[in-house]
Amino acid sequence: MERARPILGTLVTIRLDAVGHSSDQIERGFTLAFAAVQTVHNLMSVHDPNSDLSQLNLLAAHTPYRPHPWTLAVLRRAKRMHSWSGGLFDPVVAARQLRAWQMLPPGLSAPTPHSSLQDLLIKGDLVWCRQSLTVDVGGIAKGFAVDMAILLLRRLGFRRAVVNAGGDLRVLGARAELIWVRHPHDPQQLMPLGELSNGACATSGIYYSVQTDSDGINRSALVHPHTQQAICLSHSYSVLAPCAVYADALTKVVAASQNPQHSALVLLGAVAMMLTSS
Amino acid sequence: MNWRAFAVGTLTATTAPIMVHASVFLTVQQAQQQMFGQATMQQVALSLNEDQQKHLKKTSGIYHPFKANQVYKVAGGGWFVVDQVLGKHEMITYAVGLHADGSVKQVEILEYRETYGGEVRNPNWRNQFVGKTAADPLKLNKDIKNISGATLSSRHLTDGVKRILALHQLSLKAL
Repeated sequence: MERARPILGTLVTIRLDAVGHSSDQIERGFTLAFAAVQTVHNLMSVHDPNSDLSQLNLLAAHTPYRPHPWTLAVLRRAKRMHSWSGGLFDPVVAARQLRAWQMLPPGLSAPTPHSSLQDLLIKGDLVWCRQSLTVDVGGIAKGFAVDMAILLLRRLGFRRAVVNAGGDLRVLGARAELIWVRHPHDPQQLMPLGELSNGACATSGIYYSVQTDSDGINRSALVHPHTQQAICLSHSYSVLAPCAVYADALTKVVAASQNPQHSALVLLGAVAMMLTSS
Repeated sequence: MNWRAFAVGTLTATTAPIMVHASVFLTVQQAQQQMFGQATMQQVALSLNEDQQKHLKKTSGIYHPFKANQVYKVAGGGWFVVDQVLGKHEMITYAVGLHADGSVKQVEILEYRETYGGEVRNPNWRNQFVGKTAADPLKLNKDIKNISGATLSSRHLTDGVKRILALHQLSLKAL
C-alpha cells in the first residue's frame, strides 16, 4: 500500500507491505512515518525563520545553542561527512553561495565571508559558531527524514517498506527492490539502476536547478565548496549506502570530487554509480 | 545492505519513446475516511463567478481555473476539497482537509500521473537485463516505482493548497 504527501518541498511517498498487519496498524504506520518526516521539515527548514535550524543560525554565533536532538544528530553527521571528505561536503560554504545566487532566502544574519562548517562546534548537546554563519542541512535532511521514517516503521513491526523523499529513498527488508534513475539531461527518461534491499539510494543531478544568468555564469543547487562554482556537469551520481543520510551527503562528495571511489564511500560501506548522457 | 547493479560504475543513458505512469494512492472516499473518520460528508454545489476565479488566480498563482465540483462539508465542522495541479510533465489529484476554522488539517495525494520516456517497451532493450534481475524482466515496464533522483518541487501543490485556503476565505466559511 502506498501513500504520498508533499513535505520537505517535494513529494514523499511511503510504501508498506500490508501482509500480517491490521488496517489500524497500517494507518498508524503511515500517520507516524509521515509525522516523522514532517518533524524534520519543521525543525530544519532554512526557509522558515522559526525553525530550530534558523534559530541556531541566528543565535549560535552569540551564545551556545541547544538544538532539538534530531537537529543535533544531523549536524553531527554533517561534521563527520565534512571531516571524511576533506571539506568537500560543506553545507556552510554551499549555503553562502546559494544565498548569493538568491536560491535561498536572505536570512536573518549575514554570514561571514570565509565561514565554513569548521566554524560550527558541537560539545555535548550544545552548538556554537566561532563566527556568524548559515548552515543549510537541506543536502542531508531529506536522507535523515527517510531514515527516521524507516526506523520508526521497523520499530512498529513492519518488515518491508520503501520511503522515498524526492528521490532519496531507503528500502526496509531483505527482498530486493528495483531502483530507477533519471537521465541526467532529461528527467523524463528513466533507466533501471539495479536491485536494492536493506539500504538507501540518493541521486544528485542538477536538471531541475541549473540556470545560467545574463553574465553567462552558471548557478545550480550543487556547489563545489573549494571553488564555490556551480557543479554543472552532464552526469548524475547515484550513491548506495546503508542509510539515506549518508547516501545523500555522499552524492555531494562524489559530485565535487568526480571520484566514484572516494575514500569516504569506502568508510561508509557505500557504492557510487555515475550516469553519463551519451 | 545488498546492492546488485545492472552495470558496473558508469551507466549510459539512451533516448526512448514516452510513456505514462500513474499511481493511485487513495480514492476520494478512502481519503475522506482517513481524514475525518466516519463523519458524514455533504457535497456542496459551488459555482464561482469570474471575479472569484480571478481572486483565486491572483492569490495562488495558478492559471487554470479551480474546478469546484468536489467540495464537501464535513458534519461537525470542517471541509474536504479535491483539486488537481498540473505540472510540466505530471498531474496530481489531491485532497485537502480543512478544520472548521479554515486551517489545514491534512493534505493527501490521491493520484499521481507522470509522463516518462524509457526503452521499457522495446524487447531488445529489456533483453540486456535478462539474468541481471531477480525480477521478471517484463516487470520493467509494469511497475515503475522507486525512482531515485529529484522530482519537481512540490511548489505546485503548495500553490494548490493556498488556493483552497483562499477559497475557504472567499466562499466556504459563509456556507
